[in-house]
Amino acid sequence: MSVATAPVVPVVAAAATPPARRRTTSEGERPSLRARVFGWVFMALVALYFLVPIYWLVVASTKSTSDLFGTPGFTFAELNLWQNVVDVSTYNDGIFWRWMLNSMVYSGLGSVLMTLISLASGYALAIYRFRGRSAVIALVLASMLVPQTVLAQPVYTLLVEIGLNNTMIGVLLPTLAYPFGVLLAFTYATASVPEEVVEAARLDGAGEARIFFSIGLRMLSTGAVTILLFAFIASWNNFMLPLLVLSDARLQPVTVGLSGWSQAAITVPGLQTLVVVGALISIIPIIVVFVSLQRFWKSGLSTGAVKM
Amino acid sequence: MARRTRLLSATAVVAGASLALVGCSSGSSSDDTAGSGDGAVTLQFWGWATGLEQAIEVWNEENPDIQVDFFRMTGDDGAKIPAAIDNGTAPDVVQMSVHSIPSHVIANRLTDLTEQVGDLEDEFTPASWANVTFDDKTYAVPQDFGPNALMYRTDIFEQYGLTVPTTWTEYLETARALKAANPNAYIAQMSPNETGYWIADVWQNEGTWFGIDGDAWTVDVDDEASQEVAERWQTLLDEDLVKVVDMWTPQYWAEVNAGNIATINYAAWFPALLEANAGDLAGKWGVAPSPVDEAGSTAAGAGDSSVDVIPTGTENVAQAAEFLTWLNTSPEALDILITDGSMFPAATTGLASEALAQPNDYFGGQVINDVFVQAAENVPASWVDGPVYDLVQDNIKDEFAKVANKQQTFAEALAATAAYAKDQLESQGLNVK
Amino acid sequence: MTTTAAVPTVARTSPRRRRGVGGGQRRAPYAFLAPFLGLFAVFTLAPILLAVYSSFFQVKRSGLGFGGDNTLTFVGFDNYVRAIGDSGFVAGFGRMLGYGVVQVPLMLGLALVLALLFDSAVVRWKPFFQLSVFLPYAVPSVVAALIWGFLYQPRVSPIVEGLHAMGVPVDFLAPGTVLWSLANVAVWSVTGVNMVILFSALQSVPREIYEAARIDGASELRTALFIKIPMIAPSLVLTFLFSIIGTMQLFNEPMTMRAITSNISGDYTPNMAIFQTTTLGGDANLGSAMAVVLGLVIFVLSLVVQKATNRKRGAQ
Repeated sequence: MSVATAPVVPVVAAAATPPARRRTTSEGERPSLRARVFGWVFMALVALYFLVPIYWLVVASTKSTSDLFGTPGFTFAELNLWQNVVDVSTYNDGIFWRWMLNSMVYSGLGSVLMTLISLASGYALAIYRFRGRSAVIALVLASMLVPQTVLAQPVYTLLVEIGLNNTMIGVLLPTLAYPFGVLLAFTYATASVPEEVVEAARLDGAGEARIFFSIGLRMLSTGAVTILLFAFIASWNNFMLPLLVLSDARLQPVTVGLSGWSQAAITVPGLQTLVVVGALISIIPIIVVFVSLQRFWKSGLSTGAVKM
Repeated sequence: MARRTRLLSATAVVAGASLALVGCSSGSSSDDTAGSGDGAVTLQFWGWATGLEQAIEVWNEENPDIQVDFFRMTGDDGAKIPAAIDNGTAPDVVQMSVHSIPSHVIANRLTDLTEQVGDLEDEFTPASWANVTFDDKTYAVPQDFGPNALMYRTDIFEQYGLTVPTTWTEYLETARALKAANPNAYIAQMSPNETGYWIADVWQNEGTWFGIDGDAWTVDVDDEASQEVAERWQTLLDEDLVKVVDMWTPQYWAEVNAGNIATINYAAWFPALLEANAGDLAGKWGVAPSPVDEAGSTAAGAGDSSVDVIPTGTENVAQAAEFLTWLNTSPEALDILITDGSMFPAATTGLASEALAQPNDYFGGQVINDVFVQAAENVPASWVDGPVYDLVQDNIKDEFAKVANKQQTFAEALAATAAYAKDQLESQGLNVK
Repeated sequence: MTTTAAVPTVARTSPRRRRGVGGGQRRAPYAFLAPFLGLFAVFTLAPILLAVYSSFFQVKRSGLGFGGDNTLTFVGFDNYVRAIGDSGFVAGFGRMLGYGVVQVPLMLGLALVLALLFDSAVVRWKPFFQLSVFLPYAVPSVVAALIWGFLYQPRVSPIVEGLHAMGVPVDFLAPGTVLWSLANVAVWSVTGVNMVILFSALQSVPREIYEAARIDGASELRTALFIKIPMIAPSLVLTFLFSIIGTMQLFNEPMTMRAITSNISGDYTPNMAIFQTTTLGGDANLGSAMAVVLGLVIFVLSLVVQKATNRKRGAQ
């Protein structure tokens, strides 16, 4: 809910720093031995801290149900991972993979649309002066102060009115307006789409839409990837709305499905293992998305034409 | 959401696995079902109890004119019931925790079923029926019931030469003897997060949290019946005779499995959970009637139970009521629910069913339901739920947590929650005495 | 609500461009904004306005409430009076303030150190370590509850058992410690996100700026302290600001923790109190008023932080 979105915003700040070419550390710099030792020790501790719970999850997902509760959490017992994966894949006619697919659709399609809509809006706010511009910015900012807890029910009522309850579109549509994405795009565009380029394109006779699609989007590509990451995770973690909107289990995203299983697991310990394995599988797409973004950072793809 | 909902949805998920997919294609009910030309209707039914799919299959074969389309809920789904009813997208029949009835009634969410099912009173135990009737109006049909009995570790009792307590006085003595024999062993656990445990004890003592007095609600959270139970628990806690641990957590099951908890005085649906989570203890448990205040008494408490309601707005009240009557009182349906769903029924026909009186291997072949049936028939008809039940339950959990931490006594917790309950009722504009 | 805290920061970077305006150009921004504004109006703005509107009403019942005569009555600021008079709700703010004072600097400090290390040559295997730090954010909260249940609870936690074996009597879930155990879960799950933000800010700092320092013989540490951190000060201020918003709206982590201990009450944080009132209590009107109060408190806090940091930077 609200928390998932809050940390997303500060990226605005990242963009708010002056645009410049990307800088990666060169391999030529050789820090002192002491610094390197410190670096290794510190990072080892940090990785330990962040990974121990994940390690628990990995170990747990290789265990049978009785071992999950009966053997020490950090040591592997009899390897049961394959059986667990088979179980999670066949339970309820393999509904887990249907959930994964749903989540991919909600987050994949959702985040792409969220990003596009955010980019168009941020671009418009950054490039044009028009009546109501500051009102729009203020509204977008103000909407972040309101806790999301109270909004789910009114949105549900609305969807029922439109007739979109219990449909995938009903889950997708309300998430598409992504204020954080707009703020990000706004600051990215402010920083990295120079006036001169837009003006030059206009003199060449290009229309506004063409300028946005052929020049604006290209210059915003780095920002777009960051927005995409946060939009993807925000949709992936979306819980309350799909829960209210969907009464068909086959349309549920994987988080809602796993939560249901987890509650059911109170009575059925066998289900607990499925929740653990399911959770491990369900974070893989996020890892993939994150690693893809990393490549973007390292490749030093700059904010494009700024350099010229 | 009441813990009960979760528990039941749980068992259900497993048993009903294959059918869940068929059942979950529910759309908005009233729209789908209204005005079929040939008089046939399809009822949407959201529920969680195990065995419902099998029972519905039989019903659908026998009743081509009233088809039932089932959607299996998990605990989370409880959150969507109010929203669905308020927006007219609710199904025709919903299973819910018995405690939720009044809060939905005052929000105009439940159909008054007095006319359709009012004459079913004799089909149920007095306690069950009292739970669905408010101010002489019936709003639900009882489905299952959770009378209490004492599950105890036969091996531990034998090891320390203890006898199964029949009165609460003996219970205290047993607790002390056990503690003296083994400092790590406790007679029971105290779980602030499991209010059902507390409610059952108060209920056995002919208590309640709410009552109706003429045109006003009464708040009885800290009345004498509760105070007496509080006194007993205070002694248990003060003398360190109960293990403080939140129920359903990994630690809880670890304590049970480690043999640190010698008895569990809880509902008829608990044995299945015990077996599922402490399988290694098979053959080491027995079931006896709950201890009572005075020798000779047979009073028993009860944990959460569930009922079926018909939301307002459905156009098929008569058909839905007909289905619910069959589902919850006919021997045919009850036997399916008992056999396929391990349900402990609310209906007296079900209590008398052969299907219920089966030996239980986990309990060393004992016919444990004999004990639970006897308990079911002796639960006082004292318990009344109120419109702010969920809030009060949440509040008493927090107050009990402070008791567990020795920051206050049970009596103080009850006083605090009683004041809170009065506040909440008054703030809704309701009369409170 | 037009002068939200972050406005000045953003406005500062916004362009002040003068353009000759043709017809296409005049219509273009509205066209670009249309999809967002349409969706925003329907699915964010309308519900917010609805919530604010409904915060001035109450469902009035009478007697037992069974008569069905539920009337929605305008009650002015009654709900606000009730919200502010609710000691549990108010206590949540105090708790979150205390929590925020510890958790936010700790978490941001860690995120900053990590971002600086990732931006330096000191650390190798960067992709792996970055992923490690970020990964917890991807864990669904229902699973996080399961994990921490196994790590915090005596008898099942290898950590607790290990410490007990060493003679350290820890109880992560006691009333006095549970707030900090909660803070730990929050640090664990959101540090990665803030690290990413600060790291990407560092990456966009022009490299030439460091060259001068290096020529002057400044160490990596001095460069970090006196050049890099000031360069990303705006990012830091905003991560700080939004961590405070996140703290005041804290919900997922305490709900997660509540599944494993009853020492987290149903109204432990303001957002949980709102959820309790709206969902368990079925009182959306009061819940809305509480949400507005929370929004206003966050607004004021943001302003204070903004003012304070502005003054500090102005003084430098």
